[in-house]
Amino acid sequence: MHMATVTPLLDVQNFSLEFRTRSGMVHALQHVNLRLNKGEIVGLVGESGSGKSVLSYAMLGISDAAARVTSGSAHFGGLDLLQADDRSLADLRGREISMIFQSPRTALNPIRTVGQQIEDVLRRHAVHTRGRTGPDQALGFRERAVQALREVAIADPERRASAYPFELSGGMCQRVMIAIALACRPSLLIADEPTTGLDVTTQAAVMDLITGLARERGMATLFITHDLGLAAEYCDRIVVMHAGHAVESASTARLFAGPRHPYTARLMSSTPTRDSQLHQLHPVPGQLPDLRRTDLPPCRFVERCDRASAQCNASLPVLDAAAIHGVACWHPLEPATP
Amino acid sequence: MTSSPLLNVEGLSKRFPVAAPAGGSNGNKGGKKKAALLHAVDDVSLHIHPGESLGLVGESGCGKSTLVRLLARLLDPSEGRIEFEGLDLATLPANRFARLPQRSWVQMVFQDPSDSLNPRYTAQDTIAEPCLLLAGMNSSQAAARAAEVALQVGLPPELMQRYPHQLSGGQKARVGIARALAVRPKLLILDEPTAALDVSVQAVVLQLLDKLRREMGLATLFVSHDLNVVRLLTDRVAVMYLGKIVETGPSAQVFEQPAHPYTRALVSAIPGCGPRVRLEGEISSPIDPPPEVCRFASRCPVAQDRCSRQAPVLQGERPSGDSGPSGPGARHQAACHFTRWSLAAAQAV
Repeated sequence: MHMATVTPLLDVQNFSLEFRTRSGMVHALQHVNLRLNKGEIVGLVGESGSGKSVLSYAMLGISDAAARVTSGSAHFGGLDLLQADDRSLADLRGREISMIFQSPRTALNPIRTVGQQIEDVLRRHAVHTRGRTGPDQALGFRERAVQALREVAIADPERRASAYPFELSGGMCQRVMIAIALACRPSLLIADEPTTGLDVTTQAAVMDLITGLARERGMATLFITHDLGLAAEYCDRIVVMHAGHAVESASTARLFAGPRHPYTARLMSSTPTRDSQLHQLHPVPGQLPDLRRTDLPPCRFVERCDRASAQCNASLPVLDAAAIHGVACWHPLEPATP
Repeated sequence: MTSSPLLNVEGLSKRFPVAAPAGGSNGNKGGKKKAALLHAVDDVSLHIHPGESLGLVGESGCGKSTLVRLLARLLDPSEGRIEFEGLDLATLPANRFARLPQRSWVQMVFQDPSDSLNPRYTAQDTIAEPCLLLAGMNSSQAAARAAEVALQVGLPPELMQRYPHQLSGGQKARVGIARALAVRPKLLILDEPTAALDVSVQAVVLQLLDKLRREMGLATLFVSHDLNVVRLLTDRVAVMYLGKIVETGPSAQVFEQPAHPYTRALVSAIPGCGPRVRLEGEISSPIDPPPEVCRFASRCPVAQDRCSRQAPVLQGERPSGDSGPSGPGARHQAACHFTRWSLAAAQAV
């Protein structure tokens, strides 16, 4: 059972990455498969330390100097991201692939106005006329920056363009980050926990804005979060990560109708929802394994899993990222009956 | 409830002097600056009974943290009373309070366990310190007490000699909770205790907090912006908006039938909670707000002219079948002209 044979926009196969540290090699990602189609909104869900951010940084070629890719491939459009030289990656970043970082206050430059920071991106890529027709085409960088602020629903954008980040609220700074990321109309947006630290009402507004613009522009979006509930609300498809493995991949509806990986099921039952009672929350037992271990089992969930067998200590099935409901487990839970 | 409250707060306000530009936040370079007052907490009244758990929710900047700091007596209020078992703590200056025996009555668990633990103290040192400073114990008594609380919060003895960087997030959270419990407080203030934790760990910590609360009969004030978590852990909830409490009532009732439009927006913003109430407009300024205007009017989807002429006060719902006066005694109250019961009362007139 495979989806239609469209070429995915982003195709990551068998991707492994490790960090050399003083206390040993950290096997941060192992055999990760991930596909993103054009215009699709995919949630990459996992706890801290599961490798979500490491994976997205690697896609942009901005990994830490201690990182080394040990296997696999990553293609964006026709481009091999792992073989591309620095120059073409620099041309790509901000123009074709953009990223919204976790904490807008630290990601924005504190001593430049937000308008200047948007102009910087436009100037670097000199694309102020791209994708626009009619009267917009004649706009200068400044006007385009103001326009970008208007598109993210910032009131009084002319005045706000000359504000410094410290003069704006957290939600407003996040909108500026979005404006910077979307200024060049990228075809892939990576949003790394874009609403962490924001209030629920602001979170809803920011998520509505990102997904609204994504749908309107047909922009593929990789939405990184630890919040399953939030991913459920906004994503077409969800990929669950645990300790550097992608363990399950399915459409949001399918995943919530019947999670198949024991970890996903555990994660769902530990998340408080509108109707849950305290005694109904089932924490995931144990902890993430230490990724520096040299004796890591093939399935990194095996030590926390109540369905584990000898087979799980011998090998691990490959997650088929193209399958309708892919799962990397020998003993998955029963799929939901349609 | 008939028992007398443990904590009774009346008309509590805190105003900070700010050098505010007359207009907005920018765009007046060289403009005149006049002294102004930021109303962080404005005429707040609330009470907590022994063993009760009150939730405090609201957006950042609404004054939650200032209120908590006032109640923990880290800040001096501008006005109002903080009665703790009949004793007005508000009259004790914050800089002296730290050394008074009453300090141990109110203890706090801070937001991020990584930031609120001394990196050069072992878990043992951290938990024993308040016993030495506040409970007048000697070091062996403090060590014994630390071991005792550690057991209560499920911190294994072998971790007691570790430093924060050698502990996991959940373990650090337990150290923070144990430190607060070490001096047997009567009121425990929890400021977003699980915001920095992963969901799988969060569930453990929430269950631990609930267990401790029941076992020790502890009153708690639970501050959070995660409404699903607040609902799980509290009996009553107070919703704050720009320094004012806009709605208060039994948690289940407030979340199921929110009366204030702001609470409705908050509840609808929880993922998976059906149609969203969108808030347009901007938060009005907390600097010298006009007293006759409802603070929420600038973003309110149901605001009318009246809201900028007459600020609503907290009004209660009559218990069904009760013809008594609706007022401050009511369980579920909201500060809005257009609640179910305000409208019903208006019609009756």
